[in-house]
Amino acid sequence: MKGRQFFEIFKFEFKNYAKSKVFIVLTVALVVLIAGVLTLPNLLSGLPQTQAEPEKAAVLNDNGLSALYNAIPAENRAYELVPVGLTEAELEEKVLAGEYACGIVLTGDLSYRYVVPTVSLYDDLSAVLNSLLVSSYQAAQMAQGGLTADQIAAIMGATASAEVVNLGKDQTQNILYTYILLMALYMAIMLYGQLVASSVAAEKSSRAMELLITTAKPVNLMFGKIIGTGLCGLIQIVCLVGSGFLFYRLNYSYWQDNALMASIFGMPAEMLLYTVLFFVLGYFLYAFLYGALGSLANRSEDVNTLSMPVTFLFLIGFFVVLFSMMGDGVDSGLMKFCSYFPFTSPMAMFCRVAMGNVPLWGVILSVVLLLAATVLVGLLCSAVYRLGVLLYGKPPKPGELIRMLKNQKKEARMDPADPSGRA
Amino acid sequence: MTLEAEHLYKSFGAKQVLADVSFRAEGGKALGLLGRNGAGKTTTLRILMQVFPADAGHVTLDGQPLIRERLKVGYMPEERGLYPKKKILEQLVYLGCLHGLKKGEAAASARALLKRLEMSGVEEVKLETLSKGNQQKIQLAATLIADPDLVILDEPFSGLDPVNAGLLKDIVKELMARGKMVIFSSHQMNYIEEFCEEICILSGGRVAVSGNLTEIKRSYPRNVIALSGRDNAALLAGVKALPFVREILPAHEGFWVRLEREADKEALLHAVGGLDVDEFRVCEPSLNDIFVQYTTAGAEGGRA
Repeated sequence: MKGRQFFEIFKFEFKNYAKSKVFIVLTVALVVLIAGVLTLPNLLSGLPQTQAEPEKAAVLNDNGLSALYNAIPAENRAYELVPVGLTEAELEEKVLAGEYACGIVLTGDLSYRYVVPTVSLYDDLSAVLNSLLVSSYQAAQMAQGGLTADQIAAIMGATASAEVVNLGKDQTQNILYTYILLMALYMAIMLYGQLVASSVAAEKSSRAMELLITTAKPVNLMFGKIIGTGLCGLIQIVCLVGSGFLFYRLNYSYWQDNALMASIFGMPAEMLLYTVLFFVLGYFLYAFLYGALGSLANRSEDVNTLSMPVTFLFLIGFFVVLFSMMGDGVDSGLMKFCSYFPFTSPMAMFCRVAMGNVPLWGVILSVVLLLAATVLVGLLCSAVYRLGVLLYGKPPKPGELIRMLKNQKKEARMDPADPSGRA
Repeated sequence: MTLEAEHLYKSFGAKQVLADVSFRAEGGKALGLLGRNGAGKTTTLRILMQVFPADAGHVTLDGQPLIRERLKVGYMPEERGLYPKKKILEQLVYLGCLHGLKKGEAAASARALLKRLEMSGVEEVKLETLSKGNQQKIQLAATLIADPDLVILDEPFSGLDPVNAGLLKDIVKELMARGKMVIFSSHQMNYIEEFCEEICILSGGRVAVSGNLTEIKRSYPRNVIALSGRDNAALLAGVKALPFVREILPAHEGFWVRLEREADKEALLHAVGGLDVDEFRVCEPSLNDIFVQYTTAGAEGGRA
């Protein structure tokens, strides 16, 4: 009977969100987006390519640079350099008029003026010209010093080779998928945690809670909602990751040579299991907190204010992990602490598993600590919830809340007349 | 079935909300639980439903400690509450399932109740689209969905038009005829007088008065007589100067005569014997009078 009541609540809460337009539209939209990103380039590659004509760039005082540049294969360069005999003023006019995309005025072996109507962020012409000028200058100097053309070619063509002996993980390979999965963890825990809070507050403000609390056990109400909502989150994650892999596989012939995609979809399978594990654990921990805070709110508007501290705690954890990925490295002292501290460990330990070097016992310890914290927080939060759902008026201050919880505990002990054993 | 609350005490922090509250509800009868705002009615009802325990005292069902799972309770809270954005049948079935019904049973019960409440056809409608009175009827359906043995109605008549109020009255009478326990809480004294044999008036967390309503009324001095006739002026002239008449009170029809003693009733009846009399009746206090008396004079007790 008790189990059935939990199950009814769980089912109701699950359907409540799973059948809502927001959930369906969001999930479908994200799947379509993933499908589009992974499929469209493949479809487009089948169409006849319309190769953009390289734009014309004028060169004054050409010393062979334009020939060197134009020798680069057309698809790898944006311009066609055209030697012209104009004054600099005329050149500037023509560039402004759009006759030439830009102009190069060579002023020495290694110097030139680059005349351009607007400096674009993505323009690499200058960089290409610099390297061409340097290498042709170096070759010219070597030729003057008496080296033969073969010797020069050998020197200029020299490359260094290195063999990486990787004892840990390849962060160049795993940073992308770690980042993507971390974002997914962050969004899912945050979104679904806050959903629990606002849904509890909505039941309270519509006073549906008055009926629920006199009909069902508070523990069932809280767990039913948290697990029902969490299952929606899990389904969404599985849909998104699953559709990513599905559409990658379907378009594999197109993507197989793409290093970026290969590094994302080449992630070890256990990373997906870790994603699910840390989502479930992190979600529970935060959903308890959010559920308790939601129970203290009277209107949906109160929820944001009340849940601010929890949201900040979570955000701080997220940014520590993010900055460690970009900067200090994921095995820094701070990250080590965060990966065992339950409120940050779902993201921090996940990140260290993906990118750092953590022994298995470390992962297990982190999960055990997280589980223990979740049980403690769950007990505390269901006590707050039992109290909060009946409180109307101004949400209590933390001090008042602690006092009320103590009272409630005392009551529970002094209650021999209640054989049903309250939640 | 008899549900009995015995010597309930409850404090929230330093604030004592209930002190020594006792009453009983019996199958087939309605109990009126009355009191001004903040007198402790809702707290008492929540203790009955074991939302939280009493600090002391206990609740028994037929003499045994109450086990909540064994007693089906239908509760209509004063603050009406259901899911405004959910379809009506869906939420009624959900509540029925929470009470332990199977899905099919809950749906059948919901449909039957909607029909009884003249609300057939709204099964797939969202609650918020209904008028206040109709939402109220859905709330009643939610209260009765699991065929409860104890029905607690907190201000059930607010927002209902006379026709719907009549429908609700009929339903409550049916419940009582079927032996259900009904607890009424309302400030509309006329409804309480109509339904409740037993009342319990709370004031400041204590029982100000409780018991059988007729007996309570009888316990008042019966020295006020309502008199009226076709010629009230002549009637008044005839009784005004009698020695045992303490005062004359104006009334809607005729007037009231307050006598020195109850026993003077005989003499008064004799005195008006030759006059044209339509009405000669002992005025009992109305529930309203009793309520006002006990909740204003006795209000100092129990206030923290």
